[in-house]
Parts: sequence; C-alpha cells; structure tokens
Amino acid sequence: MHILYLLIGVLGGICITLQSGVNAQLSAVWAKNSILAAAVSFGVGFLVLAASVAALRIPLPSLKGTHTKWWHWSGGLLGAYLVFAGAYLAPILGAGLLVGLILAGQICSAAILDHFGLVGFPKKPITTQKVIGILFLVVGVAIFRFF
Amino acid sequence: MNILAVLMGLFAGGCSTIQGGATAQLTKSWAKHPLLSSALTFATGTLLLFLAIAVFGIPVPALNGATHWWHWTGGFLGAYFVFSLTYLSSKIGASMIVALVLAGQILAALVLDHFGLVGYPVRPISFMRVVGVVFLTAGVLQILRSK
Repeated sequence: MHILYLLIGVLGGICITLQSGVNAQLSAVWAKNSILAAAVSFGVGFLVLAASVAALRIPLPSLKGTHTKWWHWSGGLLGAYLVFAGAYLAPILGAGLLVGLILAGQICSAAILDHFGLVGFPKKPITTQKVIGILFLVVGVAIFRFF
Repeated sequence: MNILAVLMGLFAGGCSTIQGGATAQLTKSWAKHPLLSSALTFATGTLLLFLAIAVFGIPVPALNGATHWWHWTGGFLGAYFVFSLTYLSSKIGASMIVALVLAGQILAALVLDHFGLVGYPVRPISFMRVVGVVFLTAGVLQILRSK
C-alpha cells in the first residue's frame, strides 16, 4: 500500500480527535455553548464541501424517480449530535477516553446493525470472535477511564 | 466526570455508525457521489443546529478578540476527514481505512492529552495508557479479522 494512503488515512484520524478539542476551545473562548460551536463547525464544513462539489462539477441528481427513504437523510442529525458531543465532552473526558468511548460505541452498534442487517448493512450475525473483540475494547476504555 | 458523560460518548459512537450507513444509502439512492451526500449531511446538520440555537434561545456572543484563527478550523478538519474517507474508499479496503483512522485518532489522543493541547486536560502518557491502547487496538484488530 502506498505510503501516501497511509498518511492520508492517519491524518484523517488525527483530524477527528483535533476537531473535538478545537470546537471545545471555540466554545470555551467565544461560543460559551457546545451547540453553537458545533453549528459553526458544521457550517464551515458545509461551505468547504459545497465548494468542492461545485469545483469538481459533481452533478445534483433530481429527486424524481429515486427511491430514497426518510432515514437516508438522517445523517445530518446524527452528525450534529456527534460534533456537539465531541465539543461538549472533550474537556470532561479528555482525548483518550473520548476516542475510546466513541470507538466502543461504534463497534458495539456496528455489531448490532450487522447482526440484524439494519440501515442497509448486510446481515452478518454476531460471532464469538466479535464479542471477544468488544471485550478487549471495554477493557481498553476502562483503562482510559481510570488512568 | 459522570456516567452521563460516558453514555453520551458511547451514544456518539453509535450515531457515527448509523450515520455511515444512512449516508452510504443516500449516496446509493440519490447522490451517486459520496462528496455530495456528505455535503448534504453537513447542510442538514448545520440547519438543525442553528434551529436548535433559535429554539433554545442560545445567545450568539459578539466576536471578541479572544479567538485565534485555529478556533475556526473545526469544519475544515471535519471536511478533510470526509475527503480522506471518500478518496481512500476507492484505493484501499475498508478494514485498512478503519485501522489507519483509528491509529491517527489514538496517536493524536495520546499526544494532545500528554501536553494538554486544545483544551484537553493534561494526562501524561503512562504505561497504563499504552496498555489501554494495546487493548483498544487488539479489540479492533480482532473485530476486523472476524469480518
């Protein structure tokens, strides 16, 4: 695998952790509210993405004849909570525990969604191996909680 | 730190997974290009957050001189993450992307915590924290292996 891909990917992870801290500081220094800080962050992010869509001339498909369901459009609501939670929790939990908890939440929910084949994920029943992996995660999170 | 903060963190992880699934379906059913569905996700998220600000009557403070340029970069960090995911999805496998992003998150978490940067409380790196990273990594690798 090209080293460039590795760097791009790792930088992505770094940005996520940085983002919660940055937004928490924006809240502490100006917004005084995590929802407002998240709104600014989302707003800037939207502008950057919208500019990219325009620059890359990505076409906007018509909604007619598509088979979108209501929950296809729920990404924004979920993302809004995620960014808000990051900004709110960063100073309370610290980066290590925040990353660990989000990771644990991601893995556990992924196992559940996979098991029942929800949200468009193919059905993949939970296995003992996955449960073992989750247990490792729980231990890791507990360590970050107490150390 | 209380149990509510821990639950909020876990819930954020859950939202992240569901968001991934929902937005992937939006891409499939309407947007066709992942950047467009991400732009839309950011758009709806921004609108919902500003709606919350209006509904809850959250005051928007005047811009004082206390903020630095980097306070406003949260959105760029989030947008970069979206770009990196979009770009890498066509180059390397999902498992590798997960592993790289996780590595970046943990690396950043350890460094930011150690130096108490971006408002994270100072938590120096310690043997136990490294053990925590080992458990988190082992858990994720175990789960990636079981796919």
